[in-house]
Amino acid sequence: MAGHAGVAARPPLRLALFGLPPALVEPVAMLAEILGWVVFEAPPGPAMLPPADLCLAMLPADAGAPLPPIAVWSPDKHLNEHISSHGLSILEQPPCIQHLEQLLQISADWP
Amino acid sequence: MMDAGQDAGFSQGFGSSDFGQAGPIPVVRIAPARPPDDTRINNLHGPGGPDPDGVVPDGMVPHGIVVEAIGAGRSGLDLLALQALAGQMRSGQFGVDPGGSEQAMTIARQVADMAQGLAALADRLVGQGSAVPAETIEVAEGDCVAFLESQFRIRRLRARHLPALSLGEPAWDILLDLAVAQYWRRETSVTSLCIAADVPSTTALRWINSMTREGLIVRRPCQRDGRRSFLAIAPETYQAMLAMAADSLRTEQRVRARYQRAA
Repeated sequence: MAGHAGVAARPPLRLALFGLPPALVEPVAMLAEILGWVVFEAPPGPAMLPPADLCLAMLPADAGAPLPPIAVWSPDKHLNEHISSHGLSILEQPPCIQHLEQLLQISADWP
Repeated sequence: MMDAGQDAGFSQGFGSSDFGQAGPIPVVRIAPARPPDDTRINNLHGPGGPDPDGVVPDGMVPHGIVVEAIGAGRSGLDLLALQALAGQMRSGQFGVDPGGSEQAMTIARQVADMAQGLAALADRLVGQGSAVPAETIEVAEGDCVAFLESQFRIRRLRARHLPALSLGEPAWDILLDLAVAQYWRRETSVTSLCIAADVPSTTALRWINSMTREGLIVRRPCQRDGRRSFLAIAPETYQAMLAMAADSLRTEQRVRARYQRAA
């Protein structure tokens, strides 16, 4: 939706997904898009991406763990401490939609 | 038309996971007059997972909780007083100007909403204490069939008033939830909308995404913090829902009257 008249439109927030499996990319991307984020996908490992406000990537799996957790960090907005204070720097796997929405809202809150 | 109902691919494989799983509906048990621990709850999983102690902080009433009463008939709730309070708030008494600000109307509606919630709880308490269960109250066959025919006709009215909406139940549940939230000025998160859709979260997200693209749902900034956003029903969709509801009520009255004449 367009912003209100007289209010400068904020540039869309950018979410980068590193190597998430397709089954996980779809709901994460949909949730982010509903909240107004632009989503970029990238293969796992080091990659050059456009500037991103938030990154999600799968951690290497621990022995015995069915699925690795998801690491979260904010390269451009320096939100890491803020996100960690909410207990969202590492998301459980499979992630809870409520936690993801909370993460995206917290990240969008940051000026 | 939307294509959000195609569940065959992703949601089958992923819908069984915990992504967005709403979990069991939390239950608050309100204990009798002198409870040993009347603020304990069962199965309320907040963002941090289940609370090992299961204690609700003082003054907090989590949204969407089903209240289960124990000791029916001893609550002391005055249903008539609550309804009168709701009516007075709606009519602008207690110093609320009937033609006044939007904020005053919002507060009045929220208070009325709380009063209605308490009234519903009181109804439930009365129902549990009643000697005659609600299921045994006799209803005429004609009234039942009139209800069924009305439902059938109302489904057709949906398509007439909301042609952009496919007849998927999740989409309908989402619109109903958002229409009610619009009336009560509630802010609706994606998470709560997924719960309202009553389908796996991925399926719900797909519906919400499609409905947002169709313009049936809009993203709206939080009233307290403009940087956050919530979901709301689009104004034109809300008007279409109201028109459909009015048509439905008229249809239901006509059908019921016809069955009553035939009886």
